[in-house]
Amino acid sequence: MPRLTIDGQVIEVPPGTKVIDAAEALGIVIPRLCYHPALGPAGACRLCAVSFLDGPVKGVLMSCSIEARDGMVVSTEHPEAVSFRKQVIEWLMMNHPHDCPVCDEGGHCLLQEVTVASGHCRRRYPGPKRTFVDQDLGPFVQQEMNRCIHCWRCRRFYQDYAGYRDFGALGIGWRTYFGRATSGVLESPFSGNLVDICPTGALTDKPSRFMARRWDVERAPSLCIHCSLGCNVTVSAHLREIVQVEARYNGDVNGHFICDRGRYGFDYANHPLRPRSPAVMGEETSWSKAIAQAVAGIEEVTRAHGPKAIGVVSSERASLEAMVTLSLLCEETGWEGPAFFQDEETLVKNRLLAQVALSHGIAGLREVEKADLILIVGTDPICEAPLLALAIRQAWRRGAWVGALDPRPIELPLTFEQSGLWDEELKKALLKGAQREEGLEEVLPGWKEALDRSREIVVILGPTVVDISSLRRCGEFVSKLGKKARIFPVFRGPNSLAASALSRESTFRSLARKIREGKIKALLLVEADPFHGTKMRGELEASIRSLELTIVIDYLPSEVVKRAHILIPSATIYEGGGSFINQEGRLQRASPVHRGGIPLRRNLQGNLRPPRTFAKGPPGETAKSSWQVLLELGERIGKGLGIEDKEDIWKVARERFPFLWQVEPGGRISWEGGGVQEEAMEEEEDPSQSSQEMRVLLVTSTFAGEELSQYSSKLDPVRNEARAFFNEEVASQRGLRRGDRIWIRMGDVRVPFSVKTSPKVPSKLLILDPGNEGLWREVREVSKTIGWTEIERA
Amino acid sequence: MSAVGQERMIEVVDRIPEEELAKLDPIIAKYAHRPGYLIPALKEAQEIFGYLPQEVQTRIAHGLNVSPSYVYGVVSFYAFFTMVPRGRHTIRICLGTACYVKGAPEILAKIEQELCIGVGGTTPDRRFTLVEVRCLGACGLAPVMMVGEDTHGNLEPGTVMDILDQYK
Amino acid sequence: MIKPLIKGLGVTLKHLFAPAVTIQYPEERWEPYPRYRARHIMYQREDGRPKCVVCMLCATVCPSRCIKIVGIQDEKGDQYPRRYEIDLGRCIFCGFCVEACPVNAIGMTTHYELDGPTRESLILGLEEMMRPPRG
Repeated sequence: MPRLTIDGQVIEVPPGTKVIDAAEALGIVIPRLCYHPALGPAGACRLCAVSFLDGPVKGVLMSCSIEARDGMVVSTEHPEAVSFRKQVIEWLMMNHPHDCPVCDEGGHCLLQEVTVASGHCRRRYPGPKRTFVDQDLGPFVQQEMNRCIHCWRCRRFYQDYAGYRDFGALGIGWRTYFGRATSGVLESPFSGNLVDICPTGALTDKPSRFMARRWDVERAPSLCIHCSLGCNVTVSAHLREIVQVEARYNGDVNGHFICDRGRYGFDYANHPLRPRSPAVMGEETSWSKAIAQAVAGIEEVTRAHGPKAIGVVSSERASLEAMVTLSLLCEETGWEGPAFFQDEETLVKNRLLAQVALSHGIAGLREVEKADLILIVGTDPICEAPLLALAIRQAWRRGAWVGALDPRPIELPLTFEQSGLWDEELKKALLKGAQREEGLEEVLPGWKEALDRSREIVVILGPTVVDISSLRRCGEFVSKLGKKARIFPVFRGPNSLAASALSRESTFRSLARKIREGKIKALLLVEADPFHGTKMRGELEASIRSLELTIVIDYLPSEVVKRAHILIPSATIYEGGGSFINQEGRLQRASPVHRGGIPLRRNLQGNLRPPRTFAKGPPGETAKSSWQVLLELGERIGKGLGIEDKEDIWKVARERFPFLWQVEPGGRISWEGGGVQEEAMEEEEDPSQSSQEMRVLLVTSTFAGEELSQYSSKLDPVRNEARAFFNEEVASQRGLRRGDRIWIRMGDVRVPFSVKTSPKVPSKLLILDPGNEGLWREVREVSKTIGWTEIERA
Repeated sequence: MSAVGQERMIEVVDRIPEEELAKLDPIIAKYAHRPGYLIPALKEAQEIFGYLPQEVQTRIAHGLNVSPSYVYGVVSFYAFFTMVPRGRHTIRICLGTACYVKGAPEILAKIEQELCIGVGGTTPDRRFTLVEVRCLGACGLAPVMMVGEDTHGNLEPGTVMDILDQYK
Repeated sequence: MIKPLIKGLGVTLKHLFAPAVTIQYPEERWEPYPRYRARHIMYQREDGRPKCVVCMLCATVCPSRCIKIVGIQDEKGDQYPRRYEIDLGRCIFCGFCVEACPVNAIGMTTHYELDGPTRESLILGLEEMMRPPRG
């Protein structure tokens, strides 16, 4: 443990610590531009110079590049070092346009800060400044190369850390240009991080351009709820509108970065069609009237058919507070539910996954980064949990071996082995893997060798593609691998783990069955849209239409909202905050960011001010979170829960659901997975398959298919079209080539697709990515198999 | 095995005729499955075309399965790659410290004056291209210049044009 | 008792013959001093666009937070406001926005007759700000 002295204070740091970090541990922040804890030192900006007075090295040196060693005496305030840093700023500012007033970074700019701190104000060199021509880097990142100070952070992140090659350093010396070969959209789904790490205004956030200065916005720590990873973010709101989401450092979860889906998916909260006021039969009304109507409706149904005639549906994106309130309310009233999952299969899969993961040691993103053998089973990280791909890449950079068992053509920014197995073949492979050490060697060359030298194994497991018995087999397989193996579960929603813990037998499918049988007459939907990603649209529509009463509490302009008899708007995570349990069982809380309301900018564009009604809150404010609405409903029907605020919920939940709430926020829950009712699950029969037919697998992609980000207009430019993945050989036999346009007939609707081919796709499988879901509005039922007769060229 | 960014590629702009570009295919075939062989491929391509226009870079990027930005980064990094057509002979005049002190600026001025081109320029008859370099590693012979592959040392403003006259 | 009464009447009598301090508005109009701060004006560039560069400093410094700006950029990279609104119903005419402006884009005129039938009409838009005040 090296002991060194920095500015008269002695500190002992672990070996390998850089001097700049050692100083920071003492509370001395040495100015830096190029050094970033995640990217390591580059020694490019020369700003972190300090004086080494005594010890193994002496003189003015870069504290970011020198490791702390015994006996070092460092002075950050030595006149020599101070004047060195001052001159570095002067060089950097020599070519920097002094355009802070028109620069979006102005106000939170690292360069501005150090320039002001150094006292530099006059450019002594009279010559011309170096200038560049800017490129259009797509909808997210705005480039302004003249402001660049060549710290190389962007390139180091984009190419080294994230592993994408289309953006990088071009040229040499002072004319080094950070950009692409030609203008174009950045290919990486992590491109938004360039904005966060750029210390100047060279790369700024395009969607929030010219909106506000940093000090004008309301900011609060929040969570990203666009996948199950639960990345930490900081959200900025301005004029009743969410303008920007940035990554917030959390060493246990996401580290320094987030993906573009989380960064630009926030716009659902500003959606022009977002329900802002309560409505009864489509007509806007007051809160009290809507609640009174809902209460009257519920009481009527209860009187006529009993409490079991009311079904309750929620989803994996509801906050823990809403889930707990709903569960308690259902217990109190005897309503049917709550159902958090679409169908029994999903419920059982999620429970099983949670159980398998929790009993074998659950892994988070940090464990993935430390692993030296990673096996991906039934997950497409870039599509389902983008930041996971970044974590896998960090492990791979340290020498980990990565293998994948998935029928989809997975793309990852690293080299890995993939075998396109699924269903029976996957089961067989996992069985072999569970029986013998080298069992997977046949399908994944290199497995045996990697297994022999591995110390930390992480198996990444997702429930979308893998069926129940394979999931169970995977559990056996992991226990065979021994104590060093952990499971990293990837769920669909931000709160899936809590949903599977709080779920009873009800699922949306079972409720729909009861609706058809006439047992359920009313439905209460809390932040749920059963139409999202459904394969049975026609059936669903008929069941919803046959209901006597539909009460929807939601903040999205979803399809079920349009069909609601009584609509009560609720607050998003940005207005109401909430608690969420991420995929590794970590309980995290988000604070409210702003009060909400109709964004002012919308009115600025239409030249219409919001109506001046004399109310306490801002116009269009939805002051209540869904759990508050539920409590009010409960109270009005005489089933009060005695809960007043969030603290009460947490207290009650701690008693009722101790497995979820024994931890403080930030810790991991201790639930052991609960029991999985196997008899509740009816095994679906394999559809009979002729040689002409292919099984259909529905998947989602990074920017299309996730429920919340689907409503974000910021992501519209990068959303992919509908794609159909074929096996390469099968496609070429049929004369289909990559990029061809085809129509696939489903019922009486023809859906357009773009053909993608890959040797990874099993020959009897057709993988469909709906892309932007708008195309599917007319498809009443997605068939389980599709024959070649139903496919035609466009 | 599977790399990112194979799908979205820059479209080839058809300025160099296809049959000319096809000359690249043997080079691409030779280096396609050998990672890290971008620089030899570019060097051979430059030998064919004399320079590396955007189309050539894009084709090589496609062939070697790397990003066009990566190829562009390499081409713009090394001084020996050029993206504009050059003359038959490239004069590389050293302006490194030793040559500078021994009078390289006078020699450069002389050449500029005689050939009527500036640094980076090419004579209208495509005979010479004049570029400056930092050091050729022959400081003992300062001032030094390279014409094509030949190095000439101990230059003097009076005699430098005689050397250039050898190159037609 | 009687003395203060006479004193008071004396004051009244004195003002009865002194020149009047009130003016007959609207027939007569008061001419403010040149430094008087009233309705804002947005100065223009040579091509007729507002001089403002959307730095948000005026909106930042405004104590009553009545300035709303939405910016835009032209193909040359020059920034200018697409919308620039001052809510005169909330403005306290402190002149901080003028002081803060780094490009002297915003100024204040002496036009003090600011009225309107609705609250909305008191919101000063960009086009209106770029016109010299009426009257």
